[in-house]
Amino acid sequence: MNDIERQVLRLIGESPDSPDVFTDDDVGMAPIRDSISDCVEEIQSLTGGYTETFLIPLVANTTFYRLNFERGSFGWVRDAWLSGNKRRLTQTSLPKLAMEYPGWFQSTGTPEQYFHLGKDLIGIFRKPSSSSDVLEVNAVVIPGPYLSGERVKLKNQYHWAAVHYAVGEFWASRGDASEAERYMGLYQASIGLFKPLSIERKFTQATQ
Amino acid sequence: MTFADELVKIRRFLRDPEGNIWDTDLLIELYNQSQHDLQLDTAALEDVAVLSNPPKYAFSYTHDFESEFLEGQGYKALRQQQNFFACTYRGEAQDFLGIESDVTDPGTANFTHPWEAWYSEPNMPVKYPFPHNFNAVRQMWWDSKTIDYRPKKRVQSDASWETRSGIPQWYYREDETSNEFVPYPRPSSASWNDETGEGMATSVEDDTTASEDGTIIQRTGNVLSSNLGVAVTILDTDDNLAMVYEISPSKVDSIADPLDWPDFLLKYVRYRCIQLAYQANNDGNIKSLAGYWGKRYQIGLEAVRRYMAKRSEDRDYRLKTHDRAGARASGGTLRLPDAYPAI
Repeated sequence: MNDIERQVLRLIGESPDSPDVFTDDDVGMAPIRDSISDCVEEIQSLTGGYTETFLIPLVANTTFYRLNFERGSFGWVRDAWLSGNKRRLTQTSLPKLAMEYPGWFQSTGTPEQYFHLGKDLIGIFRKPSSSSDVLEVNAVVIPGPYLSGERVKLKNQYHWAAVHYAVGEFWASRGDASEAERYMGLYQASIGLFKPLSIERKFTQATQ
Repeated sequence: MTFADELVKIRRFLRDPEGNIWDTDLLIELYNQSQHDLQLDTAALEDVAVLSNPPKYAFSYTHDFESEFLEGQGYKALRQQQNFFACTYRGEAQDFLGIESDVTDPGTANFTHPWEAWYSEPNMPVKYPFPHNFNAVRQMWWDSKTIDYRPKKRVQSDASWETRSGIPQWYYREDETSNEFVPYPRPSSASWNDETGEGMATSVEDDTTASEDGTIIQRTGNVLSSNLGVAVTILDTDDNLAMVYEISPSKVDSIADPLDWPDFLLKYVRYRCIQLAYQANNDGNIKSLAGYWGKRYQIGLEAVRRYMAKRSEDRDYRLKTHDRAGARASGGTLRLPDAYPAI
């Protein structure tokens, strides 16, 4: 049981050392671990806080490369480095390519640009004329659910956010919408990305 | 990830692990609606597909009622007079009414399986199936050359549009429901290399083919790394129809069905599904919890929009005036290379 899980148990009235309902095993802790994993995914997909670098061997005359991750999900590309040519690829998009280079899909040569498609695809423009280069991609990876004993891939600053998130979901699963909403507000305030407690905002009508 | 995994979590938040209030069928329907809502709100899902040429269907049929007994996407063969009769040539309709057959067809043969069109002079265009989860085309190519949409009435400005073959330049669609399109002109050649099976080719070596519609979903012969770590799948587009398309999330029919969404977006579909479940007019109708999960879904929508915007964070933006060339213009004055000898 990690620190985040222990703190969640304390806040919902369970003893972390001798839990009654949420026993310290995969089945007993599943609801809390699922909530914390969901929170990690949400924060990382918003902040791009966790990246990995991997190599894509380019294949002659091939534009699209699908990235199948063993664990976690592909988020987005931070930078793409063409190793053999020692140059950075710039980012573009499908509509931009279609507008600027109508015949882009048949153009071969040294890759210049890349674009992101869907959940796991990278497209290369120009497609390489030979299978001789490697694209080194630094990409945001959204971590998959963590297992017992594994590191939670979350910056320390957000650990309390994960606690609030999980406690909020605990109350929601108990049918207490009010408490769930209160903790979800605390979660939003913790990550600072959404405007929390909007219910307390005062709206006034201004004259011309 | 399958729907079964999500169902456990949904039931946990509904406090109904045995399905006493919300049965599985209801939750499947609500989940399908939720998938539809999230995709409509965010357009987060898109994909690339390489389509077989000649097109592959799961089966061919001549009357609508037949398709109800079969699974997958079928090819409606020949010419239809609704469910009354199917005919091969137009003159048969005249014969049926007792009029002497007089009209001539442009080609010499009709076909029941699309691949037969390449062994004859067909009197009909050949239809191709879109992938089963298709919603809208973003871009389409034939052998790496862009082919654009063109309304059928413009295609018909060519008197021989039904039989014209060559290099496809455009595609048209008869309607949105049939999930098919017609490349125009019809590709003059088809890829028969490496195909196995007798009669109708059923597979191409090293390809995994979707049974529903003949889409090549994975070309395993070109997978460069193992299942561990990051595996890269290559999509070969040469001599094929390729397309980037917006997905309509695959409908869940049973709890074992896989889900189209990346794992980290699944929770937003779940939130919407729980909201809808609490809104359902049954013993579990609880407005406060429906409101809570509704707010959670709205926050999720905002999160997805931010994620979509983040995907462009590596873009280089530059200002330009309206009468200047675009991104590739140098903009500055000419400069000699650094290694050029000093004057």
